[in-house]
Amino acid sequence: MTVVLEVRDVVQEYPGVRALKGVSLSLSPGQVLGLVGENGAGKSTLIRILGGIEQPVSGTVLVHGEARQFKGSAESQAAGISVVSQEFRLVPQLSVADNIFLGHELTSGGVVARGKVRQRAAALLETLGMDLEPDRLISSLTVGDRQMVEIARALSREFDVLIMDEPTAALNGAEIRRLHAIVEKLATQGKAVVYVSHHLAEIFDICRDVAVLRDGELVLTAPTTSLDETQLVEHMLGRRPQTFERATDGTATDDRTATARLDVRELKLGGFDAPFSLRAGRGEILGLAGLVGSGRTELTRALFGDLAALSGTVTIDGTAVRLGTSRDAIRAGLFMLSEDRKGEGILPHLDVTENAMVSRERSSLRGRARWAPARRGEESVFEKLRQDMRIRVPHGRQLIGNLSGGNQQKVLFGRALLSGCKVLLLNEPTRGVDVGAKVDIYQLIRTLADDGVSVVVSSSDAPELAAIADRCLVYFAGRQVAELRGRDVTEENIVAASVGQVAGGDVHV
Amino acid sequence: MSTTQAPIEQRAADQRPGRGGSRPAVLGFLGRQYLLLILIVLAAAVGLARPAFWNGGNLENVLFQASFVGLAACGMTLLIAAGLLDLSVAGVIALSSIAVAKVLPYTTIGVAVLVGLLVGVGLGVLNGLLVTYVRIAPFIATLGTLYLFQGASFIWTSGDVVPVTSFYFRQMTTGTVGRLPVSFLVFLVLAVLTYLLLNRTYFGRTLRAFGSNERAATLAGMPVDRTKVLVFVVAGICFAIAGVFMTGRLASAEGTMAQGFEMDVIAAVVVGGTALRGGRATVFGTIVGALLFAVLANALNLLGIASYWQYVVTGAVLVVAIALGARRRSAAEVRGAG
Amino acid sequence: MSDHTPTSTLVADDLHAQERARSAARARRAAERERLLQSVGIVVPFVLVLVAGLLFVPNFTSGSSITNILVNAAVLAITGYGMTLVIALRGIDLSVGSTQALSACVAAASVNEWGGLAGAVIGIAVACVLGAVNGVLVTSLRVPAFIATLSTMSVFRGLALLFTGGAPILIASSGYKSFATGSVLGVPVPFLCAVVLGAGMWFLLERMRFGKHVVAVGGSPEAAVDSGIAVHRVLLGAYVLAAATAGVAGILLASQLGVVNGSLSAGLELQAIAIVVLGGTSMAGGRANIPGTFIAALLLAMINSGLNLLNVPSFYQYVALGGLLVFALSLDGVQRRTVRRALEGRTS
Repeated sequence: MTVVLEVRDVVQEYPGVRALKGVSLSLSPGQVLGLVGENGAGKSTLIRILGGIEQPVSGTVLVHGEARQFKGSAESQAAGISVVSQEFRLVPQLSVADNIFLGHELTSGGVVARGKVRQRAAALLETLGMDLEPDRLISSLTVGDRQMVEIARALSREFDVLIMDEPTAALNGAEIRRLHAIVEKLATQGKAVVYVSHHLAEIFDICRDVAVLRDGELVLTAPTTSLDETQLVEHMLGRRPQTFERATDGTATDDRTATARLDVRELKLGGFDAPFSLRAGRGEILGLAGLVGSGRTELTRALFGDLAALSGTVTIDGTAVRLGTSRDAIRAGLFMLSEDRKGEGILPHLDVTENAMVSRERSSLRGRARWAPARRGEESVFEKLRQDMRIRVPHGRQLIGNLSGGNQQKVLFGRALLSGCKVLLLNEPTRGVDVGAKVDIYQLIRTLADDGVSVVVSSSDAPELAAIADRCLVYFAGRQVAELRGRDVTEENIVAASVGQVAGGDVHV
Repeated sequence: MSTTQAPIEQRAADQRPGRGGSRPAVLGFLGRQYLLLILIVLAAAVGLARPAFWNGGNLENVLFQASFVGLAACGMTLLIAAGLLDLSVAGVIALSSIAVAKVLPYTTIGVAVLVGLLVGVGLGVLNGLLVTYVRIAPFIATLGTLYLFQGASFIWTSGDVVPVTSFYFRQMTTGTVGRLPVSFLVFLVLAVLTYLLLNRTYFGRTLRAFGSNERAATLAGMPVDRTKVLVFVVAGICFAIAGVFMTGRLASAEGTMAQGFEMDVIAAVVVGGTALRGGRATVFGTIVGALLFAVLANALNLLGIASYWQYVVTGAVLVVAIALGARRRSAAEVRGAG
Repeated sequence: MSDHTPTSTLVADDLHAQERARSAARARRAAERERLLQSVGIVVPFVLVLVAGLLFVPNFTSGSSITNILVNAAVLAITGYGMTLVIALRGIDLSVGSTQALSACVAAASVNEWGGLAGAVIGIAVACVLGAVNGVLVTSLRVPAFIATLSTMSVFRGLALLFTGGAPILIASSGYKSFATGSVLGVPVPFLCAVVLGAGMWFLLERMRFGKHVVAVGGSPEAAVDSGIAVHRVLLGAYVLAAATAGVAGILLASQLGVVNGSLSAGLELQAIAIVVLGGTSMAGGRANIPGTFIAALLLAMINSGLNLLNVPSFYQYVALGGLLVFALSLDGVQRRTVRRALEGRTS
């Protein structure tokens, strides 16, 4: 069997983390390989290396048996590797057609052949089953359509290997089926496809083989027919999947909702027709699920005053909250941790102590303490946090930028705790966090809830919500389509509801 | 000076990732020594080529020059640590100096200086509002106000020079204590205050926080906009203080008295080791940077090199310092990725 | 994925169709708002200044005044084209004034030595070298654009003053001088140059691969990198072009003035930035508007000329320019916010 792409002993390191610990993998033409693993297992790193965006510390990538070193994505593309990246890498100011052919424009003498570009773009979109004007600007598209343009772009290049990093994260049921058909067609044409997904059902549907990454190591490569879903999960986790040690059942949840701590009524947001309403009880962990673009992220941002709401009321413990700025929200007892920890969470040039202290309530302070922080006091407060939260850091003067994702997240949890919040809004709380710290963070969330804080967790990780949420609301295109309680909060129910198929739970359409 | 030095080194030591113990402290100390070393070598070389460099009068000149740049650079250090920048230094200095010179004949020295500082506050507020509420990028907003302020000062003076005749004012601003000019002592005091403001107050913490990551600081509920305006105000006061001493030294004030000064000030801060990207600053570095530029200018002068070379040298030194800093930082960023 | 009921899928498709229609409507509204604000930003001031000039400024429509306006506008516009490119890339070039001075001085000296054509070529070549210096600083050495070009503004100015020794250079060649002072069908040659260069620049940006790359790098640098665009090469090219246009404008200026000195075009960077932003090119990158730059250059030239004719002291021109810049920049901010709001679906 010929090999089109081979990876040998690839190692990649970030500060404090070995993201890939010698991964070897090979792909033959016509093979559809599923690549699975938990968040932080190294899938994205591997893809970035294959796409030429990162260079490995050691190891080689061979294309058609020839060792290659990609210095940039252009070189990787020239070698016949096309990547559909997870983040949207489209230029909002350019048209759909221009974006599809960006970097490999159809030109004659430097002049773009506009007719040809438009024609080919329309044809490509057609094969994807998209009815989209090639001249429309990207900024006018929905998230799902943007994802399809991203896929069209990958298909427009000459390639032997197509790598798709969670291509279905923003697609609905019909679109997913169309995408699967295309993947199958590509395989029959002799293209090799690497398909990354969190939804294991997909892997079994379309992949011939599956490779499992765990903590930067390739633990298994096997035909999908030789496994079932439970076994696959076992390999991903490295242990038997625990059926959730749920602390609560449905009845307890009902009690909590009765004494609503956070009450959102008819909150209307720009870009969504239906208003959002929800209640979260004292000590309840409320999950928000849905695809990218379903509105759950926007909802948490609006509650925190980071996105303007058009109308509606929010009350905490019966007191109305003025929706204005994040500062107002914090005063009212809300706190939010963003999913983008590096861009919106940490203050990289400040040490961990300062990072934890910045949102601390200090209106009650008097005199010198009012404008100058007391060093000793802060040090002892941080020391306590460090022990309570098991933050792995040598001393409180360490810069936060040098910590691992999990430890950074714990420091940010400390910030939230010190803000004295009553309602904590979490977006993707364990994204980029290693497995050990993940468990700690789940425990932290539970402890906070037990202290009476209402925790609202918005996550795209269905198993995560299934593990920690007392109750889960599922959103689709800006509408709440399901409310799952207690034992109904399962991965299957969440996934089914988020792609627009309602199974179980209360239906609200 | 030793009081400022020790804590700064402590911080520098902590900023080195992944290593514990005394080694980073030593490295941090050496890192600072290298700038001091350049200063000493430069001074020695100039002294060797032109022994006149060591004359009391000349050294005093160097210290005067260093204190003008340094006083303004204290404010600029805060701005740069906050990820901001002010190119309107020359305009603020001109307007506040003209204000001092204009009111001096009618009132006491104290009131005149106060008026000058108030002008600095007012112009700082204007810059701050343009940057925060009108949301114009700092360098371009202050480039606009530079022209605005200079235009205003020309209009105010009708393009003339405003002389200062007050003997006491000149004596106060150009006097010396021992061999050290008053202005230099004021500069050192201001530097210590700047250090304390930056590292020991909530104000300083907030400004470093949004200098480091503005989105994160906003989402942490810090008063970003208000603090930004305040930073511009504090910087405006620093510039006005520099203006007061310059007025005394020149015995006059005019629209062009500080033209091109922003380059020297930014260069002193950046060469001193404060990164333009914000988030942290070294006040001690700014002191050394100010001295370095004063010695350099003095050397060019003593060696009889055409004054036009100063443009070239200042620009080149600034860009080299930033390029070196960017190189160092990019290495650190690669390590800090992910 | 298997067990779904047809009805729920229908509901999902329905919701999606609605969402799509909404986002298309939002995009239309955003585009309308943007067009409206752009015309408010440039057309309205243009008409106001024109009418005010016609009504209140004596000799505004005299032949020499119009020629003066057109020539000044041409020099500004040509410099502005390069600046448009750089700003669309989220960069800035503060050194255009100094670049123009140095290349005009070198060109003037070369004209006296080797003749008109050689002088012009040498002048533009010098400008390209200076642009390459800026480009290398910004790309390979990773110095932020504004501080790199602030530094080179000082360096190039110093070099220009050193080159001339502080004395003016008189251009002896009358043939060279007649180029910029000549006219075709009553239209000054520099103005024709500005129109032709503007058309060329527009074509480069709108129709050519380089232009697409400029928009991509300015609009979303990450996307550009991932698409395999050589970002550094695009940036380098833009800085060289910016300097080259400044050089071309400098040569026309030298030809028109007949005498140049080291402090030529001081403060030009501010005028160039002002016209570019006023013309609708966003400081946030990804949007370049060459016709806008051209119209804004005409506007600024009219203002300058009007103030001159009214014998307003030149200090006030500083203030007018500063005010114009602040106006243009605030409008840019308002425009960006309005478009973002419209895209988010807020109506207010």
